[in-house]
Amino acid sequence: MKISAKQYAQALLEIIEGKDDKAAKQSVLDFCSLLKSNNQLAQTEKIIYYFRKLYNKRYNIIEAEVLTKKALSAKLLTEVEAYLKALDKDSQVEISHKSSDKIIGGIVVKYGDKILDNSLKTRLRQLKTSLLK
Amino acid sequence: MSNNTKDFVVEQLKKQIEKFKAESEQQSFGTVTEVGDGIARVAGLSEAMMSEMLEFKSSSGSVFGVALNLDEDSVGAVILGDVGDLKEGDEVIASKRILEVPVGDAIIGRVLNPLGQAIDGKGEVKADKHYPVEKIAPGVITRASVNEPVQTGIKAIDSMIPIGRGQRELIIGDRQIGKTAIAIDTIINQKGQNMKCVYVAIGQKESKVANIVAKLQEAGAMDYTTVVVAGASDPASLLYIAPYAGTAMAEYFLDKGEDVLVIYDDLSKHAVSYREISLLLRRPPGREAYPGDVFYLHSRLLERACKLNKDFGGGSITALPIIETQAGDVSAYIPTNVISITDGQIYLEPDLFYQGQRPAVNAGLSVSRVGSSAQIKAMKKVAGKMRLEAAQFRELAAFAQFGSDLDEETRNKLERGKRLMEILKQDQYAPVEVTEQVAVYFSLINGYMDNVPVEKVKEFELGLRQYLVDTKNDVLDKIRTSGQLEDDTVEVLSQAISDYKATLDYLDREIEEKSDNEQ
Repeated sequence: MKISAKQYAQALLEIIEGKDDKAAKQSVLDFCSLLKSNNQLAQTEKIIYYFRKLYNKRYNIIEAEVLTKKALSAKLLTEVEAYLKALDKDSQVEISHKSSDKIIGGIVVKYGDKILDNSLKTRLRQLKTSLLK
Repeated sequence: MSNNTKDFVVEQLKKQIEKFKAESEQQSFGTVTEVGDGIARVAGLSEAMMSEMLEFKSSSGSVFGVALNLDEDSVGAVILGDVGDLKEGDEVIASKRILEVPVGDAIIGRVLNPLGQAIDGKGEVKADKHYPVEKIAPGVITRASVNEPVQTGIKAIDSMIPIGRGQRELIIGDRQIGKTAIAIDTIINQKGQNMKCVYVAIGQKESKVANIVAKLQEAGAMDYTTVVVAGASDPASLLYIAPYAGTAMAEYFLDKGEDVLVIYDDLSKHAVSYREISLLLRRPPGREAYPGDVFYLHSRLLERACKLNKDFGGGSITALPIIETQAGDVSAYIPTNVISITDGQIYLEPDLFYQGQRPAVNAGLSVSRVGSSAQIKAMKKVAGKMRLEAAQFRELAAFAQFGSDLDEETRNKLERGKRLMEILKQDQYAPVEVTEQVAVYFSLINGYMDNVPVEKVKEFELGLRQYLVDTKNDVLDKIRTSGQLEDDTVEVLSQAISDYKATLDYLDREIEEKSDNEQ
């Protein structure tokens, strides 16, 4: 029977559950050699994707991505973190930051499969459609 | 241009900008993991709904798609429009709205694509409302039985295969045999009949659609008609939603209590486009490679045709789906499906077509299961006998080929039948008013045409109709308003036909004298 990427990820998560750093590293190494012997190395990318998802779910971690034009000030960062924490109390929040000129201004927050689009670009587009009506 | 108007414009703009409230709310998003052939697979979007509109944001703008497959951790969607430079990793935002089209009185006279965007170059459609493309058909409680006629203006149909408002009547036949012609003639004849029309062209050549629109315009039929076009070059996703979008537009008028006629031209191409989408979405194929739910595909569409009762507005949607058969094979998958869904079919036959019997309606195989209750009384009276004559003729015509030794009665029946077939012939774009039809059938079944030579029947019929319109309009009016053929009307009508015949010089005197002697 073919083992899916999701099942591999699930198995990996269960193996390293409760192990310390060193033992976990060894398990991952074993896991990789298993993948190699099963000829499934091509699936690695998918397995990593599912593993992240499962891991975050297991340990209640919210991965968020903040997109702004300029670097984010520490004050704003804590505000965003507070907002995300308010959504789910027991969760830990991991914020990664990116900057892009494309959004003109404002802030875009992505977490899980949700998006909070407060960029100037989207605002301007909304204004345009409402004026055209 | 004065300062005043400038100020006015600025004021207006200010007001509009003030009205604009910037709101940002949490939206679901996903990323494209696979794209191709008009299909995209999207990861994320955990809260996507069935047939929800999804906005695909590519580098050159956004395009909409519809969620069709909701899997465990991905969503399969069809893209409505050009895939363009959509690529893996692009962002997809769920709009939280089921696919909908603009509806309203503004769509009348327009040519639209299945998304409700104008493609006739007359500017954007200003619609007041949006209706969902997919909607559950009205239930039992809201419906009434079909009791009003749709006058197609086609003699063979109005007499023998009558269609009622709210009925679903299939038009089926091979290619190039006049299926679309019947539909277009029906639209043209709806002028002044209190009927809105929606013509949905699915997978047709754009040139053919352009021709049809031009013909409708010429006949003044675009005053009450909307044309929805998903052309042959459009992606399968647009072909797939086209009939549903057309029905949604019709439902707007239905909700206002009006009568609507919807033509789906044609559903075989619709099924093919759905097959394409299904196979690309990796749904398992069944018979003729169609997916398991093609029956539901058409049944849920045609169930939306209905006649509502008075409490629910009393409107109706009459559906005329068209199916193209391959080499007359009505037992293929899609034709049998649609035949079983509809309330009857108009079967067009190649043999009749090439014999010059046009419209090539095969009266034997065509049926209308509910339409006869919608016929006006006058028509019912004459058409019943006519159907009998036609059936007898078909039976005897087969016999008559074996030998010429026939008894008098059989010969008379055959002669009558020949004339009947002759009056059922009709040119395209020449619909006939129902009262005139009644008069013509009346003269046939009462033997007034027996002494008209077969090749002169057409001329006789045209002349008779003209004569009645010119001199006896009051009788026609009476039939029209009362819908009945009363004894005194019958008398006037017989007299008028006799008067008309007295002006002709091509009648067969022998037969006339013989019948005189008998009397």
